[in-house]
Amino acid sequence: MIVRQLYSRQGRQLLSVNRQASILRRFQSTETQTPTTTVETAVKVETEEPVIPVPTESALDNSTSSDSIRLAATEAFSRQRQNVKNFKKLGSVVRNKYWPDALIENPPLPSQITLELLLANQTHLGHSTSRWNPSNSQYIFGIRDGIHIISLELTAAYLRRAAKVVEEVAALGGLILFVGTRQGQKHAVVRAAELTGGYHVFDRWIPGSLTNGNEILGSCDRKVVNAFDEELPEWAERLESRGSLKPDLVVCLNPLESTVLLHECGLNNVPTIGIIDTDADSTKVTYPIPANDDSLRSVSLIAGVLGRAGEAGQRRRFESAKRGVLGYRSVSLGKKDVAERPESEDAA
Amino acid sequence: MAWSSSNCVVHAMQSIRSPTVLRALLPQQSAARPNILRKVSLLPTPLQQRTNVRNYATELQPGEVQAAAEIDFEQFKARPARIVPVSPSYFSGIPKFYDHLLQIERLLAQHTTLPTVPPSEAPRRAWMKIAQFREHLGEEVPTKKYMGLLKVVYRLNCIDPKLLPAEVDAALQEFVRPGNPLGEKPKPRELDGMGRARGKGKRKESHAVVYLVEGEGEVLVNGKTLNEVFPRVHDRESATWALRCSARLDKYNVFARVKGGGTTGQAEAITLALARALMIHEPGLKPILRKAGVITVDPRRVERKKPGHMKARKMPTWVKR
Amino acid sequence: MVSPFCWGCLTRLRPTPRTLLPSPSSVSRGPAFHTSAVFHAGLRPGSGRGATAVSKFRQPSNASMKKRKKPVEKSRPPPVGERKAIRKRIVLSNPNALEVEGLQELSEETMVDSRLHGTALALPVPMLDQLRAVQAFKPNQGWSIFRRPCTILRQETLQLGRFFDKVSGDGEHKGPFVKKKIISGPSKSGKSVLLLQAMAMGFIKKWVVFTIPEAQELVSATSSYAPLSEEQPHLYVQNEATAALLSRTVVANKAVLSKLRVSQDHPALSAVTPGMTLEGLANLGVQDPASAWTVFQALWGELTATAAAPGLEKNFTPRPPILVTVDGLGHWMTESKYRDAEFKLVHSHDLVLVRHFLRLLKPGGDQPALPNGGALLYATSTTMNPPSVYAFDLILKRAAARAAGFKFNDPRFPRAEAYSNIDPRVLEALTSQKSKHAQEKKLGHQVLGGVTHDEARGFMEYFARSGLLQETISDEWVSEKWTLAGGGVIGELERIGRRLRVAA
Repeated sequence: MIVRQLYSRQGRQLLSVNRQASILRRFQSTETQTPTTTVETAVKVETEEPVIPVPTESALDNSTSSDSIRLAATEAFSRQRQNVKNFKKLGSVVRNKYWPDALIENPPLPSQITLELLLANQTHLGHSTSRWNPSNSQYIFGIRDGIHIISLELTAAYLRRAAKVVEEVAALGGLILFVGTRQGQKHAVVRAAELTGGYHVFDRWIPGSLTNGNEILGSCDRKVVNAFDEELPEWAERLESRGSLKPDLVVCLNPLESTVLLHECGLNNVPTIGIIDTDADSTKVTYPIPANDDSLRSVSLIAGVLGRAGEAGQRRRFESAKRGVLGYRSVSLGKKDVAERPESEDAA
Repeated sequence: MAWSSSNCVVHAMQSIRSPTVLRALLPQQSAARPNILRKVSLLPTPLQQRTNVRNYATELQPGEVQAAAEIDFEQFKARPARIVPVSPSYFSGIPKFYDHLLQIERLLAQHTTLPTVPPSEAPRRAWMKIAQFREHLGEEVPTKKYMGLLKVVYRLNCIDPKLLPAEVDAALQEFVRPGNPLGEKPKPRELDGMGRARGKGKRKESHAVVYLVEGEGEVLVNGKTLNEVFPRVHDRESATWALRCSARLDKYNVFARVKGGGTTGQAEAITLALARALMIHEPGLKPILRKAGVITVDPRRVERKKPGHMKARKMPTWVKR
Repeated sequence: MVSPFCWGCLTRLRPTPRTLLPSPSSVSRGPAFHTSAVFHAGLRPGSGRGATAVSKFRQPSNASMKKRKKPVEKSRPPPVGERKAIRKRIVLSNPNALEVEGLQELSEETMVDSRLHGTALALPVPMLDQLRAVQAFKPNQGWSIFRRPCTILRQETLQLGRFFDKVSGDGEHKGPFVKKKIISGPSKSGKSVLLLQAMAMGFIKKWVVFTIPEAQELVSATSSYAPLSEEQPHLYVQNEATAALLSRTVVANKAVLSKLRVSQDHPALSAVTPGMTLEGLANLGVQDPASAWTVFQALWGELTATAAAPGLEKNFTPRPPILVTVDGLGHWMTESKYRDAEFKLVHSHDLVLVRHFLRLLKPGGDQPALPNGGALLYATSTTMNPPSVYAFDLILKRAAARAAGFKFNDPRFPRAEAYSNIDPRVLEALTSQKSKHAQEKKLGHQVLGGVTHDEARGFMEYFARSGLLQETISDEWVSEKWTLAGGGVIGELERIGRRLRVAA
């Protein structure tokens, strides 16, 4: 846009602004001030221009001057941080503060499950009685303020059982998938999968990932690992003929929305663990955990406990591998593989 | 029952069995016969079997039987145990994308307290377009998800460049378009062999190409003089505004080709093209031209008409019945 | 059951008038029974399609009711001819403009003075009436913004002035030279003003000036016409237009014509007396338009005579050179708007007046066009929407190519396109042949472009000195305006100067 066009549109405002006078002047038939740079001066300006070191992106890597600038900036920043740290000690002290990430970053072990812990994390709160699913009657402790209260003893018991399942599956080298597609569950899901050495889905379960897995997951990479989970690249070409992988255990944090997932798991005979609130159908999952699935704290706690259980299972698996014991049936990949071990008692 | 009660038979059997046991152990000890493929030899099963066997010290000749071989962990390690996905996001269908997302979100959480600069001062990098990113990963990433990813990338890029950690820089480089078009400056354009500078410009529906040579101030547009092409004096001034504001009107000759659009669009397309051509002749004029607004591209176009509207926005009069 | 009718009533039934009955078409439109609705619908006035017209979805059905009626103009229109008079009015002076000091007038000395190149020269005040008489001024030429009419002495004007000087000067090169020239150029490039300058020089040099200020008026079927004679039924004479031409010529050239006397025999004109001045001769045509063409021919014969007829020598004085200017030549190169008896369009070249002036232009005739010297300046015009005539364009292109030095055999010499419907009469009328007379040159062609920077500067300085510009005129400023005016097109320069005055 040409600047002088402003004149016709916003002439009244511009008239009052003094800095625009040069633009207006050309509309009056008086001498306009034109910049009187000539060709020669333009060339001179180029040659006389002092070289100012500008810290550009490319200059950051190898120029010494930018290195020194960088160093100085880092020093100044760390000094400022130190100051903040020093001054933070002054004044009042806040104790016993709630740190929301603590439950996710450092979840309790299954052995540490107490009713107080469960209560503190709101696992007992069910739904309004009108939304009750009668299949949960056995888990319900009572009614308070129009909502069902889940029996915490049962929650603890079922949670321990689920933790045991997760631990055993992890110990036997099964693939454990954590699914939590609700808003805010992402962090807990990823952390639990990380602890377990398992897998996570936190965005959307693509329908058909199990029933039509070759189409949907066919292009995703797989690898062959030994008992220590170290990759064996020489076996990689044998993978191509094999179909997509299916999880050996699915932990579903929101069974209410994951009907497709649970249906597919049922079709493929994949055992599932689910948080069953009072409005959910407990028959949709293999191992229900009666608990509140609407509170992020409750979900984080349960996912964390299961993650810790999986961590323990993984530890057991590695220990047995160190002893040279493969606690599960190894995969058969063609003729290099000799007779399977009869020893794997309860392989998943 | 007669067998079990008869001691001598049992003893006889034992004496028969012990050599077979020994015979079974023998091949393991012989280094001359490497049988690496035999998984049996790796496993501790023979040891266990041997523990079940009741031996008699008198039957065994000292020196004949040796201790079992060590467990060959190298063989154990080379044996495939499981097939697992490479990425923990395997079941999401687009694992590489989620791995990238989680990685840069982790970096952001880690470095979120670092001081930032305004987006306008952040280093300019050309991020990958969605098609390029899909090709790069080999996954059909939805556009919306990639935009969400880029938001995190923009935020990381706003960290003060002087304090940008190396790992963040490396992670951001993953998303930079190959060749980094914005990073390296384009080669400055030059006059051609006949002393012409060529500039292109667009405005509304018009496209203009201007050839600028040194001269006396003659202007030809599509082979016609300026007054034939632009009856309005305002349009003529617009078209030559770059030369006018830099007081170069009598120092150059202009030959312009312009097509499309109406008179205003054509005139202002010539403005832009002329200013660009002038910058080839005299790069030092850039601040003046920038201030005059002639090298600023006006990207506005006619807004499309919508169904249910009479024009782009105008609605038909509302009638009650 | 007894019938409710009685036979007496039935017999007294009259046939219903046909107008009350439904028309057969309206009845047959509906089914054979339950026709009452259809019947009523057919009878209802104003329902063209019956009851089927349902209001459309979202159609503003009553929006038109809000439409306001335009207020009826109550003032009466101006009397007939007043608007045209206002439109054609020529104002030559602006009393609000400053008088330019030291302004020189166009005169015999200044019109050839190359030191004055690029300056504005005023037209002498006594000459203005003459120029007005020949309709040299056009309403859109911007005379009304200055104190007195002035023109710029540009290069072409100087050349023209030197030619005038050569023809009627006292130098040794004096002779009956003839210049034949077609002046073309882009719009507003000063073609008409160049003709005006030529006329002014003609008046200064005491030439006889014939002008056709609007060539279009001769061919646009706005004046009366008639076949020339029974012998030549395809030629047409325009008596009123000829009388108007004579009137213009008489008024403008009164001083010259009143000193010249009839020296030839004019058997067709009984009213001519031997001692009559040429002014009186021309006035015969003005007074009696029926004989205007004959009078014009007689006048032309007198003016182009090189010697007196026997017996009339005492009345003969040497005839002055003649200047003929035609503005808008392009209109003459196609068919006119006149119709012949068979209602076919009459070609412009069949109008005797047009034919006369075009024949002058064609070189290579048996007799010299202007035996006493003179100039034929025919300008094209772009303002009056001239017809595009391929043959005429080709002639102009060829003239330009010839001026650029291309021979006829040169492949770059413009040729007619193979399937173009070219008008042979136009080609024939203007094709330049080798002139048989030494004083005559070939048909020339001058393309009038923009003025030079110096001339533009002089022009803008004249604006400033007239008080119309409050700028300090610098070279940069002038060259900027020169560029904006499309390379010094003088009409555009004037427009820009005028625009600045308005904006100030």
